[in-house]
Amino acid sequence: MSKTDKAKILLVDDNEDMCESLTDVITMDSAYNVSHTTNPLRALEMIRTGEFSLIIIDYKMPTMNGIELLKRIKQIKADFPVLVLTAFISDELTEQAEKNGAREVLSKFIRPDALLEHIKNAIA
Amino acid sequence: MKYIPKGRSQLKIKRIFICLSISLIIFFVLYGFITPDIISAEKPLVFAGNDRFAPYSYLSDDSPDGYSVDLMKILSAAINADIRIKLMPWERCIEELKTGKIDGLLGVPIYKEREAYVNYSRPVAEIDFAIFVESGNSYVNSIKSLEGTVVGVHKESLITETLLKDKRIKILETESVIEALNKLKNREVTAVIAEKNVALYYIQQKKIEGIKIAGSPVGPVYEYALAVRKGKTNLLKEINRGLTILEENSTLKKVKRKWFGLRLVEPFPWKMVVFMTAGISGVMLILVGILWVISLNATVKIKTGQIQQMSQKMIEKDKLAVLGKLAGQIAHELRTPLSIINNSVFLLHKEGSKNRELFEKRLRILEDKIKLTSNILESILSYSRVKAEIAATISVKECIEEVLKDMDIQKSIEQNISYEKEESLTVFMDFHQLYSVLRNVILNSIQDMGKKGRLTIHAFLSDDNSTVNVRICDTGRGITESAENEIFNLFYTSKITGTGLGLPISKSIIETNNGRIYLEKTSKKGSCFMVELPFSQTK
Repeated sequence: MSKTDKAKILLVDDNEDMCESLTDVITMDSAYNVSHTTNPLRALEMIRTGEFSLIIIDYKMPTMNGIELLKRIKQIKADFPVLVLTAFISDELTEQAEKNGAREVLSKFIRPDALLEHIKNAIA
Repeated sequence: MKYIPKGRSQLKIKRIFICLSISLIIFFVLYGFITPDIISAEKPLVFAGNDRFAPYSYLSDDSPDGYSVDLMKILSAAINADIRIKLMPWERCIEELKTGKIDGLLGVPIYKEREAYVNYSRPVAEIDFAIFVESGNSYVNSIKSLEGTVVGVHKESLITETLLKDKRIKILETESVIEALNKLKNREVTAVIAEKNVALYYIQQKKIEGIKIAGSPVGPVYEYALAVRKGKTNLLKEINRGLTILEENSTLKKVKRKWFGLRLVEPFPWKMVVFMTAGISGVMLILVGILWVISLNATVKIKTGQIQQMSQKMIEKDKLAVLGKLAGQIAHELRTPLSIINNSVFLLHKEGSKNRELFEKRLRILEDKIKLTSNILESILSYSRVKAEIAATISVKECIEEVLKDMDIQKSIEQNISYEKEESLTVFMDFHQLYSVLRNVILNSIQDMGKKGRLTIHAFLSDDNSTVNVRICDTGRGITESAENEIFNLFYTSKITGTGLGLPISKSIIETNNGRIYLEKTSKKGSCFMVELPFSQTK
């Protein structure tokens, strides 16, 4: 990827406010172009048609949980880097997510600049 | 009055005569109704049976005895018929039946070929065959396994035909079942195949020891019935009517139990169990399907009941655990606004207040989310307000016992509970609060162990008598190094269903009471938690 191209990131979280807040944080670094959706099914559609460098998904969503969404994303493209964000981080969840190909599982309480660091590493 | 006028006397005799005649007529008419024609025959009916077929029919001190004999006696009473019983050698029974000397047979296996000269009643028993071997013999379990051996079978046994099909089995015919069994005891034959009830009867009667039944029943199963001479259909109808009565009032069952109630200890019938299990599973599957549909409604009701029960429990004594579950949901809600607040603060830092519009937006978000957070917290607090604390000097031992009693820990978890100086194990705090803490720690231990393990609780007074200590140990998977420092932090949990509230709240309760709670040690073989509370002397 050339430096002039902005990396495209897709955010999936059932909470619209959370999506907006995260978008604001991530777009602070002008290197990224962020899209978001609160609907996991819509997300899958966007992934099929759009060119994303990274997908960040929430774990707990009412219509489809993060692990399920992760599995489906991997069916579309096995090597998509996916970060899972969760309000409750646990060893069991981390293990499950990583087994299903998640790049990393992060707490929603991560410091925003640390999150940016993780995003940078995932895309690199 | 000696003199009776002639006219009156004649009248009286006439009256008596008329009365007598009417009575007789009524008697005969009634008699005709009660006893059907076939049985009103002057001469009694004769039924014959094999005299050497115990326990069905045999001579005991020259008088007939056995299942068929008993049955016939009861049957003749039930149908109100005069039936004589005669036991003699089997060949003679058949011969006399064919020549019309007797009217029927007490009992005979239902056998198509005999239908030329008999009519069978409904079946009254079953004749099946079993393999009898020495108790120590464990390799015989079927006819196939008898190939190459000598098998004792009594003369004219119905099983002989089946056995002859397998040319590799050598048959040794004996005069009687007893003779065959004796040959088995003398090791002249490897096994005896005989009608099960007959052989069992002799084994019991002659007190023959060291013989068992091997495998499942073998060969064909014959139905055993009464029989009448061909064409005596009225008699047959009566017999069947009587048998129905005996079946309906369970007399038949009682007679059967009397004669066939004896059983040897049989080897475990694996084959049958497999078939039965398969059969039962099939039926169960269908039933489960049906029940599933029916039970949906019931399940809803039960669940509703459980939820009600849960809230009831919460009110009473289990506030902490239930609070954890309820609060877990709320806490998730709490995390989202908090993380938005977190992001907004970060953005405010970075962006400053130069862009007024953006700055206002961030502040508005902060305000909104703080308000939301506060509302959520309020709702959690309303759950968590443990009933007004009533502190008193309480016994730690009593509290532990109450917790264990209420938890109903499964038996596969070994419990090792011990107390040192139990009368001195007293602290000054609210009983319910201590209960909640102990329950929470013990519950964690048990959940960590799963189905099996050992729970060790040791309560003791510290060396300097300043604190009452409770050590709770399990043989679970232990706590990972990274988690060791986290377990008392709010919302940390290693379980996907955990809430991360139990231990932090326990900690705050214990610390409020000037005590300490900590992880004493942990490894892959288990963990120990320690609760220390200031010792309080009983007044």
